[in-house]
Amino acid sequence: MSDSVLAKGGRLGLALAATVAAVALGAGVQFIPPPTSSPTISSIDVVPERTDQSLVCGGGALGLTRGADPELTVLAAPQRRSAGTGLVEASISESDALQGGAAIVTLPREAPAETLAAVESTSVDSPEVRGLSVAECIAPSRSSWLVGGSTEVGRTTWIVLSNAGAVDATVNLQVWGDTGEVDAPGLTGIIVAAGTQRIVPLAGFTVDQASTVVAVESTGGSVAATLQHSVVRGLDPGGVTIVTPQNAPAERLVIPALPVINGELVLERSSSDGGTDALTAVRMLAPGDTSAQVTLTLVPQSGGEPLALTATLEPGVVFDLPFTELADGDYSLVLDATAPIVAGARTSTAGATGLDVEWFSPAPELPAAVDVLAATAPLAGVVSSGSARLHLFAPDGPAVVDLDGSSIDVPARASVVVTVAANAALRLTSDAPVHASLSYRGDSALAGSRVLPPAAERGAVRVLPE
Amino acid sequence: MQPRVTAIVVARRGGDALQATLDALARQTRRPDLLVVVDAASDDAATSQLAAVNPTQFVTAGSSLPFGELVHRGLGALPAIDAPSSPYGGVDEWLWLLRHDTEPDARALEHLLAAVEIAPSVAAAGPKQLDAAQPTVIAEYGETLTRWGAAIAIAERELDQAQHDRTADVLAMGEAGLLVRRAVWNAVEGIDPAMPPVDAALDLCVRIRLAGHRVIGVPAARVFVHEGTAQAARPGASRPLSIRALARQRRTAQLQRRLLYAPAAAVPVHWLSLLPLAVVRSLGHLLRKRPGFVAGELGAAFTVAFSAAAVPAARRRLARGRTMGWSAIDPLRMAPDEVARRRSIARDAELSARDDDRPPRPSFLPGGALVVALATLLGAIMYAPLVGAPALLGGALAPLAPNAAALLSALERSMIASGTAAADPFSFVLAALGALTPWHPSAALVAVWVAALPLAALGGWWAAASLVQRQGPAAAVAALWVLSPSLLVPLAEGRPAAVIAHLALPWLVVAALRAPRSWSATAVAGLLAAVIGACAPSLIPALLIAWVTGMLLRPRAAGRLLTLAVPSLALWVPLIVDQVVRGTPLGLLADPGIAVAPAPSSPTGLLLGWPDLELLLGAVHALLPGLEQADAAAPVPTVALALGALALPVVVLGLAALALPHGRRAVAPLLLAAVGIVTAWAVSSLSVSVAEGAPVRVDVAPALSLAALGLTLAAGVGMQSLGTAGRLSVGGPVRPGAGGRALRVSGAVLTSLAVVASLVVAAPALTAVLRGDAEVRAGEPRTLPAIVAAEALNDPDLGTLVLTPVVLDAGTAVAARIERGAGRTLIEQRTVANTAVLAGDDAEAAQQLAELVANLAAPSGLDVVPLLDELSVSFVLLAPADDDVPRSARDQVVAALDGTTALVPVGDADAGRLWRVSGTESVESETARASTDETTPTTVAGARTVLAVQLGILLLTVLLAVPTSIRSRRRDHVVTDDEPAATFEPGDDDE
Repeated sequence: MSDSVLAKGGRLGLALAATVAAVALGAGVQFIPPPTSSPTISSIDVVPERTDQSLVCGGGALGLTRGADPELTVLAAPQRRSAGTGLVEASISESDALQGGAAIVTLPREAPAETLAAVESTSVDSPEVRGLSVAECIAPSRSSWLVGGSTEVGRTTWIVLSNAGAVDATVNLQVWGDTGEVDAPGLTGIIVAAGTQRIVPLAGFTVDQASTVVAVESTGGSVAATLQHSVVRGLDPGGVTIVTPQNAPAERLVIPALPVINGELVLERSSSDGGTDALTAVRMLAPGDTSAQVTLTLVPQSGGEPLALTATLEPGVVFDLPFTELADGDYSLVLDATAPIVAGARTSTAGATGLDVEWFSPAPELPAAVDVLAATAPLAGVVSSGSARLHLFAPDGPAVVDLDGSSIDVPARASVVVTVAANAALRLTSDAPVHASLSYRGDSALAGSRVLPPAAERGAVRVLPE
Repeated sequence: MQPRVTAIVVARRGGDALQATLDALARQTRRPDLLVVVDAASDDAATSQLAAVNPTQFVTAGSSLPFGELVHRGLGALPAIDAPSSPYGGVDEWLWLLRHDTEPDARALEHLLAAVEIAPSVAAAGPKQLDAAQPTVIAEYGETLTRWGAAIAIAERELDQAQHDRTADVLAMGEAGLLVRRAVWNAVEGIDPAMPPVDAALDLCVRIRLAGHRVIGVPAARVFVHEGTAQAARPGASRPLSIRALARQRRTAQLQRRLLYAPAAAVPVHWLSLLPLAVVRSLGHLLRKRPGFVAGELGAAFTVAFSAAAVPAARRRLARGRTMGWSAIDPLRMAPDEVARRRSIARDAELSARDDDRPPRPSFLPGGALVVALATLLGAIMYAPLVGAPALLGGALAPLAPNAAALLSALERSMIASGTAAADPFSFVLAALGALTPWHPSAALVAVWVAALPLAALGGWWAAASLVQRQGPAAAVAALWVLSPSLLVPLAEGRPAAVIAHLALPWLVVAALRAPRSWSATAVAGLLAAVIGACAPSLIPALLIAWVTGMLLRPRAAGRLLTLAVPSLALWVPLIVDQVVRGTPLGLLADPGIAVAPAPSSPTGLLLGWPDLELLLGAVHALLPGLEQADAAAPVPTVALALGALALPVVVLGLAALALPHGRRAVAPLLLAAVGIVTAWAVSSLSVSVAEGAPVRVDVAPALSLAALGLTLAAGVGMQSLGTAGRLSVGGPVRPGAGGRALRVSGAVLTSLAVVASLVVAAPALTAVLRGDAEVRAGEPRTLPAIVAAEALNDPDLGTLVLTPVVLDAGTAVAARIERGAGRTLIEQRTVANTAVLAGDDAEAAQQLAELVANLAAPSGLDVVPLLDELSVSFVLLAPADDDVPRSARDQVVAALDGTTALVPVGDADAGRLWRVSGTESVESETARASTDETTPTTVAGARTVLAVQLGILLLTVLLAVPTSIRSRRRDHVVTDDEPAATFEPGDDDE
């Protein structure tokens, strides 16, 4: 059997050799990097053609007609100031309000200028609505967050939706109150046809709601959404304001302008109907699923010690934080939150002819070294002894702001207020990011508008054609 | 009345046969009166051999002359006949025709003369030709014609048992040892020099018969034939005549006789029918697995069709000698029932010969059948969500083709933006698949998915059955093959090419093992290799290695194995031309079908046989939380080791096979496995195409299929060897002992472990579709929203711009493509287009598209309507983006599209958000219609011809491949323990 044994030995040797080879192969596959080759992905960068830039101005002060069958109407027409070279103005005449409508300020693509700004001011003195309202004209957007308003007795809040585009928009609203999100019929599927303005009463969705936040989402076309909020205390009108939107919740919000004027007089006058909404307050909402810790820093213009507060926001619950015993003066408010939030600040003023209220929205950051155009509202013939002030706040570091040739030093986290001419165009450039708002005040009148950054530069779109 | 015999010996070569012939002549009891020797061998030895017999006449002639002419030369050297040849007086002159290889029996001439003397009507008499090598076998005795004019021997290759000794009157006798009355020879003008040698004597005898004489066979006279008529007719050294050359000669002769014997009026008809008939008969040869006969068939037809004056001359010769009508020979033709009887006998003999030759195979029942049944059940359950679906979507799946007509048209070479694009070989596979359900091509893919498991079981079993003889191992191999991750992962991830490759691989093994012996198997193997190469170009190097190795190991069959590449070449040549001309040969490696990146592979995954470990690891992590790792494709070492341990039994079985008897049978499978794993490793980081901003790596699944096949087959050999261990020892006594039993038990344990472990490991991938965890899903036969599909019914060229936001270099970008009709279909995909990125240059069309997309995806003042019109885009679809794309990026695109006045939002659909280009609701603008030709793939000139050639080659291969012979039911093979390795005989299975 010697050859059988030999064959057996040969087979064993073969199997051993194969095992060794298999182990070597496995080790090789595991540890030797395989050849690598990858094609270079060629994208084509194309800068889209410049497009027309439009701003939509929401229109005048809204109120109801007198009589048995009251209708929504415009009580006072706005005055508008626009800034920019080669602007074309148009208007939307189809509106839910009588004589209502919106103005569209367009910078055509062939215009020489790159930026534009516009602002509208309205002064009204009717039995139900009085006061000064100023609102910067805004670019239509697909998502708007409006912080302000109330549906308590005597408070009227209108949601103004203007579609200046050529495509119909379908708007879905979300309304939050101090008990959470409001569910009501009619919130979704509001059609805003191209070239029309829809005005929806907030009270149609929720009543007796002291603190409201409205989110506007549009599909199809984009809309310009604002809130008009007016107050009647007892039988006396107590002010009107227009709330302009934030585009998205953010973790840092800056409200550069929060003027407290005649605080004691306001409290005295406003206590007549027992309402507390004349107090200077900040309204906040964390719309996400998580609660947010918010640090509020109130920086006085005078250079005094900043006042820091903290608050915890439950998700989906609107929280109004009043500031009691706040000395008169101009403040800036910074909110730093651990989750994206929206916020707005309310303040009131009182004078010889009555009260006025104003909601100040957070102003977006003006990037460094970018030419910003702003317009100040016309006040002459609107409100007596009116003035306009520019509030600047640099949250991160000191900035030097060039305002029409004169430079202004803005220290880090300090509030700087400059008096500017009303009904004028302002040109700002800063060497560091700043936030800027304007406040307007007159006799028994308070209003504000924001300085908005120019539309983002047209970046190249990277396209991967297949 | 004295007969005078002139023997004529025509010698084409010398040697033993000639010497035997000459010696036999000398030994004749009745010696020929005259001996004429015709020396047609240009060889001194032969000449001296011939001269030594002192012939009456010695004639030297050219070796290339035909037999008839040589006889004529020999006769010419004789003095003229001095007395009239007549049966009633004078000298009776006879010619006795002999060749150098015809050795007459000592009494041959005596018997022949005795036969003709008593029958004056006989003008020719032939002896019984016996095979010189086997003197008891009749080489040939008597020739005749069938009713259709085919020549047929009355007796050929039969054992001589005197069964033909009563046959006397025949139509014709062979030329060897034929005794012909000289006067008649002269009257019919001898042998026709243009007639091929095989039938020269038949023709001569027919003319003798028509001249009113008889031809008889004389069984008592015997001639021992050394070479045979056809071989003896070849000049030079004696080489055996191939069966093909003989068939060609016979066919040539038959066709020539057809033109000769037909009535004059029918000759043109016959002439015209020569070539068509040759083509038809060639197809018949392919069907009967005789591709070697095709050349001869066509050659014969050409030879006869263009033989110029030979036919008219022969017809005149026939007419001059003829005194009787054709009906005179009718009784001598072979009766049709006799022809049929002989054919059936031949077929039976062939079948039984083949049956004996077939290697033993294990019984399919019950083991194989059980595995297939279980796989059917498993497939029906696991892929139940897909049953009845009109199409499959997800992964690289899409509708197969819009309709049956597209199956063919998509195979043509076409024009694309960056040049010409040949159809992918995979498109041919898909076309064949879609043709199974022509009313709804996409349903074929659904069927493949649902039937994948049983098909894999069947394939695995057959592949195993060609290596092992016991049914247990074969069934285990089938089960392992079904549970292979390289099948289950592509099934879950929707990669049809890898699935088809996996299903086809075992059949390639089956066919390739039989290919050296069978034309049918060769054609099948060629087709399967083409299918696998088409599905997985990454396997082509491995297939080439196996092919070349096979040819080196079997040099005798190399010529036949060479033809394996023909179907593949037919499919690949246009694509190779396109890619090479463009300068991107690497693009040939691109996986066919829709370019979708396969899931990332890891080295550990490759070693475990998993193209994508995520499916498995997902289940592991769900069971054992806390083992996750950042890189989802690579397991932590403990998990890797555990999985490796589960895969170990198969490896152990495969390697153990080498140490056991018959271990050599495991060598080739193990090498195959090594080649597979190396291929998988080599291609795992290669990408040659790009989809949606990301490189698309070459799929490793087919290479892992190859590795799994090799390993599984080796394991099968191991199981069999272990299962029979101890019961036999080669060349030694049976040793019943504990050692053998231990081996048998360990074999059974390892086999069960291997199957159970692979079932456990495969479970996550197997159940993925049922759990809804797979990418593959049932869907409608469209990739675009229903509204687009509905409109595409009226306008198949309807364009839809599909935008996909993607992440590119930390920024975002928009991938864009234009789809026509109801969306992308598999069969219309072109790897040439997918690999255009390799060429590097941006085509003009791409720039145009980019400009349109940029101005759509961002707010823009550009009027996009002309661009949309020019590209004839009617819809814009924003496809869902991956999770890593920021939501804002998509929202910006949505806002920009919404803000475009030329677009009307349609809404959200399953395939994404859709906009309609306004103004395209009814009739598209004329300009858009006119410009369609520039953007949609258009056919290139000559594309039809190329396709026709490709399809022709494939059709011929299929004809050769289809089994045409009736297979007898095999008796169940009884397993005997000392089974020798399958023996491979050089003969052909199917001839």
